[in-house]
Amino acid sequence: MKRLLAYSSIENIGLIFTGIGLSILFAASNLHLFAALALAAALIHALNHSLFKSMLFLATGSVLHATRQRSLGKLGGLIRSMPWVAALALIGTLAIAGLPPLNGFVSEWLLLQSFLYTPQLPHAFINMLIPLGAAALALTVALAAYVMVKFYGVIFLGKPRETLLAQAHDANWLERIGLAWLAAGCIAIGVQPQLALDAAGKSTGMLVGQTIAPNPSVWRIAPIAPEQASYSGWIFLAVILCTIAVTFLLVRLLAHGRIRRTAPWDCGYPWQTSRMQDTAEGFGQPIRHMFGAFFRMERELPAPTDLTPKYRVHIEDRFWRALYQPIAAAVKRLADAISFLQGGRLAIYLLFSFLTLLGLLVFVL
Amino acid sequence: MLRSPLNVQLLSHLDVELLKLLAAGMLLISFAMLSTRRTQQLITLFAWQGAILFLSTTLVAHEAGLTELYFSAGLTLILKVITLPLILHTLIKRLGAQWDNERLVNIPITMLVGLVLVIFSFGLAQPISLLATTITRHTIGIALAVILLSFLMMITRRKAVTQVIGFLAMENGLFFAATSATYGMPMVIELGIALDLLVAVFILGIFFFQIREQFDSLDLHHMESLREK
Amino acid sequence: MRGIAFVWQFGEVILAISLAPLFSGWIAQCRAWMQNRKAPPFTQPYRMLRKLFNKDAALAENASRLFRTTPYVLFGTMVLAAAIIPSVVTDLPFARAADAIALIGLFATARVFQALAAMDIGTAFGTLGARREMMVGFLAEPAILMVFFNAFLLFGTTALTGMVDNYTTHPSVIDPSVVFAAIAFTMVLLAENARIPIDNPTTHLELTMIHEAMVLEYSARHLALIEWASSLKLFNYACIGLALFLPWGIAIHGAHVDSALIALSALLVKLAFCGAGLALIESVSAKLRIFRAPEFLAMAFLIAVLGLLVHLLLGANANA
Repeated sequence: MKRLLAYSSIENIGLIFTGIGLSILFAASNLHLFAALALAAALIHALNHSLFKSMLFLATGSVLHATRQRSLGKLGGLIRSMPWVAALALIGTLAIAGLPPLNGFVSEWLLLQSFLYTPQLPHAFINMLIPLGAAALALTVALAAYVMVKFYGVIFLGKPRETLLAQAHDANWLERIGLAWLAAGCIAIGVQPQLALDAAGKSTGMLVGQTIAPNPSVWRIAPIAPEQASYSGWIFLAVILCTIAVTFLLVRLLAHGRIRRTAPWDCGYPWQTSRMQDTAEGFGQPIRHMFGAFFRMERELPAPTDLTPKYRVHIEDRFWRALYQPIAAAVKRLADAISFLQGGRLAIYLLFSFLTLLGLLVFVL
Repeated sequence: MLRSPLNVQLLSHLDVELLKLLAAGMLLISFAMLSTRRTQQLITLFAWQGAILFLSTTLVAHEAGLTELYFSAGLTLILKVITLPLILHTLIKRLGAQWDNERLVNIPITMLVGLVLVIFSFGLAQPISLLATTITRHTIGIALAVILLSFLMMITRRKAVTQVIGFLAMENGLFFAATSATYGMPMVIELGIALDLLVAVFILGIFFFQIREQFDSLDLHHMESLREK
Repeated sequence: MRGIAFVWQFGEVILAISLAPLFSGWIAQCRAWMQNRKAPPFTQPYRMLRKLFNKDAALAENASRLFRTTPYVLFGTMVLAAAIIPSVVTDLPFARAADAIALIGLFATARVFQALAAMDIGTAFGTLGARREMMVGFLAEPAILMVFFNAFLLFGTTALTGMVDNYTTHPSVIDPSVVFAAIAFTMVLLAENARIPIDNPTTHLELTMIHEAMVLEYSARHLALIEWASSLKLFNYACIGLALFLPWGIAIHGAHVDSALIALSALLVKLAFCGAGLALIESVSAKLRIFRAPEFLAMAFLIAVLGLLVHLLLGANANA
């Protein structure tokens, strides 16, 4: 679980860096308003990320505490035994997937808005290549939504994959408060982004010399000009909730609300087990199929004559072996080489501090 | 024999829009040729490319008032829309290679590389467009892109027939570039190129039969066995 | 804000909700004509909705609250989208809530909720539909973003009402960027609304389903709401396409009753043509293998990007 969230953090940091990079590009071409927009988007995304990522880590902590299972393949169906954690984690999942009316959407919307102005960059090749960056960004955001659906679906929805999960207990009230205030933060920034924009505005004012346009009314934000684009989280939330309420009432009034509980339909298959639903790896199969060239995959497939068929897949990032591991090894070698300094004797350490002090005195005076 | 520059303000708006649309259509057809799976479809697309070329040359001839371009357009029609596709169709029918056309690199990656090539040619062509004086000078970038895309198609395909079509498409792109930059090439050169094309197709057709006799398939990787050990 | 604007807003939403099943029925009718069969009458979708509302809901034993609220959430998001898209008038107060890019986010919300609900029961088909739907969704997003990017460069704004308001200054219809954007948009429309060639809306083979597999466990009023929301989604997409590429007739700059009536009849005519066009595309294409769907969407993305590049090359520095 936590590994999934860690990789997702990598993606979010990529988004932040994209915003910073765009801001630098714009500032270099003297388009300070757009630079402020991109920088504000990056800063707000950092803020949002702190909110929803912490919330998701807390939720996984609750799940871990309740079920003592770390791996996604052994969870499932926890929405029934842990309703509070599931509900609050849903808010976190929707926020990180970048869905309106929550906060993740605000920063991604601002970032995409700043991409819209990149064709105005004066450089010939760059103004054609950067819009492709916008497409890559949209792809990343949509992939993040995919991953979060997998995350939430495999942990909380479906049938439990282990029988021990039936004993899971819900979070106690302290854990709930911890999750709830973060969820409140997500919703607050989602519907009233001006709070975050004001905070970001101070930084952009100092760094780029300009802030984005003030919002035309308290209900919505319009970073560049109201005619060009505006967004209102309040209207989103209000209209959706109102429509849900009205529809519910109308359906109850004009039709009825009777329910019958039966076994799941599943197109008439009579024997359903919890192993028939997707595993976490299974849910990610389309991604593996499409982006297979980017990974190293080791697969163990069962033979047709196997009496105990097993399937195993191990995926690794190519860049890990090719790039990061050599660097890490080099750093380790360097560290080993310097480790002779760690003699273990107190006198040597004091000697180092003394020599550094002498050197600084010479340098300064 | 140089063409005289023309006053661009004398043009009707509709003709310029149509030319832009036809140029964009050429680009789209090049991408479609990159991605199609069946050889027969490839030849049809090539015929369409020739048709667009014919239409755009006629339009330019009409706008610029140069009668030689009408002849070029007519030549294009006869050669590239009718004769060559017919020859190619009968060729692949005899070879039995109408359908399967595998590739060395899969489609999304080819598309991405194609896109980068398009950006590259557009960026390159912008200063050249400023120097030319024809009405269609902005479409030089598209012509360059068509040439590069046909080259890409020649590189990423397995079957031998696609190399020919790629070569012909490249010539299409060159012709388009010539029309858009300098209102066509001198007639002698054009006739020479047309004859070369025809002869090339005949010779390559003979080659294909030889290849098939030797290796029993038109797959190009069999030719790798021809290298010296 | 004028009070009458709220009347237009409300009216447009009611119009969308009522016309959406009719639009789906019209497309089915056109398909039947083209395939030389007799189609059910136009009111069939309404009858089916009524039938479904009157049934008892048969819920799986382990269906959670999420499963039961998702149909309402889907309906709510689609109604909000209908409120934002200018189909008849542009004087819509709620339209300021979202521009085109926020609309993409709204449709994404609906998709995520539907996928989550599909995973809720824990059957093989539900999760199959969920992952396929998310796959199609994430590939369609870059394509449609590029279409709106194009629209921004061409029309100067991403707010749909703004685009329609300025349509007198639009570039001509045969501008290549507009044509490319229209082609790409149509391809994304087919993909997102589960039409051939991505998904067959009338299939009964579970292994080929994407959208249908997600709603296998729903029945009665939940299914009615989901079906209604799906037809509303198609209606919304069609109206977005009309607002972007064929905006003539929409009442702009403060509507009166007569211009609204003209706009309404224009909308009906345009939708009729769109429906016939969609039916034609569906009848001549075959459903793609599921892993060819990425190629289809990659093609849509490519065409949209080409439109963008062609605009930057030809439109920006052409003087004639």
